[in-house]
Amino acid sequence: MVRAPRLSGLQRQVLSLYRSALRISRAKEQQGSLTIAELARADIERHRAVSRKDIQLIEHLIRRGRRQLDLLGTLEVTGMQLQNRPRP
Amino acid sequence: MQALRRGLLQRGRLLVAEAPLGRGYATQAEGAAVTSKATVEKEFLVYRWSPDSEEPPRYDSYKVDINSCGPMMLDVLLKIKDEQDQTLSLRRSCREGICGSCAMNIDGTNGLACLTKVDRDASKMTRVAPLPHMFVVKDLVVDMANFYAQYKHIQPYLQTTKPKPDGKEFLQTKDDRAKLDGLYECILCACCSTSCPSYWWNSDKYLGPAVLLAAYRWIIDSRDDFTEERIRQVNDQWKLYRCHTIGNCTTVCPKGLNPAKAIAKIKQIVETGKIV
Repeated sequence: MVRAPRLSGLQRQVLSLYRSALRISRAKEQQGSLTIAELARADIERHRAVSRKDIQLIEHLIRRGRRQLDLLGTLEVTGMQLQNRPRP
Repeated sequence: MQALRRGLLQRGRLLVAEAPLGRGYATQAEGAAVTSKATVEKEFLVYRWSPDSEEPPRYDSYKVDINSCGPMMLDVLLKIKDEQDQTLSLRRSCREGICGSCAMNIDGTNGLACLTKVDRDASKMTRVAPLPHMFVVKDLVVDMANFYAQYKHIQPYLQTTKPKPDGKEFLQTKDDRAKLDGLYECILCACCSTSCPSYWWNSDKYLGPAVLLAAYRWIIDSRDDFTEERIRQVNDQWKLYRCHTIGNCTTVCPKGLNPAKAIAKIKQIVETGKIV
């Protein structure tokens, strides 16, 4: 059995952010084609190159993501649509 | 009317003809006003950090002629943004202390940039930083999400059980209205909350002076029917009693309000059970 890699607190925060994005995406999905999940994935992929030592930046990005998710998670938001797909 | 327009045209032509090489006369007039005063170069250190670059936060130095500039800190910052560094980010809107957007830390004291006069002493540097102990979004822009969430938490709106007496509005006496003076003026700039050491260490649990001032404003509102619930909600070891009467909030409030007094009043209400 392969043991799951031990994650740092920051890594766990990122994963939990992504998972809550997936959860919110599932709740809203019926509305549009490009989903919140895809957007979240693209956002995370875009910052894949960020150095793992750049804690300040990662924390900033997590806060930004949380803020966006809080907005998207409100009842007033039923779905979303993107004008331009985010560049990979 | 025709004659007037012709006169204006002629004047315009005259002025344009006078200006060298097609320069507008507005800039000329400005230039003339500037040259009448001596240039006083003052150094400003402005906090810079951008999430897009990998550099750590730093203070950038800008030299500004404070005689060719408005008297307030905001004028200086906008001059820097206009003429020296367009990448400088800051929030501003009304430029007259009513919107609360331009709250920042100037020479170690929180305040609104639009209401803070620039220290005329050019030998000293002025240091401009974002509000202390707030997450920085970029340069002087801070993340106010937690502050707004706390404000939302106290339900800052009228809650009633009875219908409007005349079907139109809830009335109150002049005396009852007078109680709200010194409270309703708060513009939620967060200068007070971010100057409070207690809020620095416990901003996740302690509501902070600005929000408690707003809470008190709704507790003593004569039209509100949920006073008991409001008191119960705010009566908490963390939410309210993290205030240790430090008083920075009152010192720093750009609107001259007294959040420390409002918090003391809430504590008094909690202890005595009487609305004061």
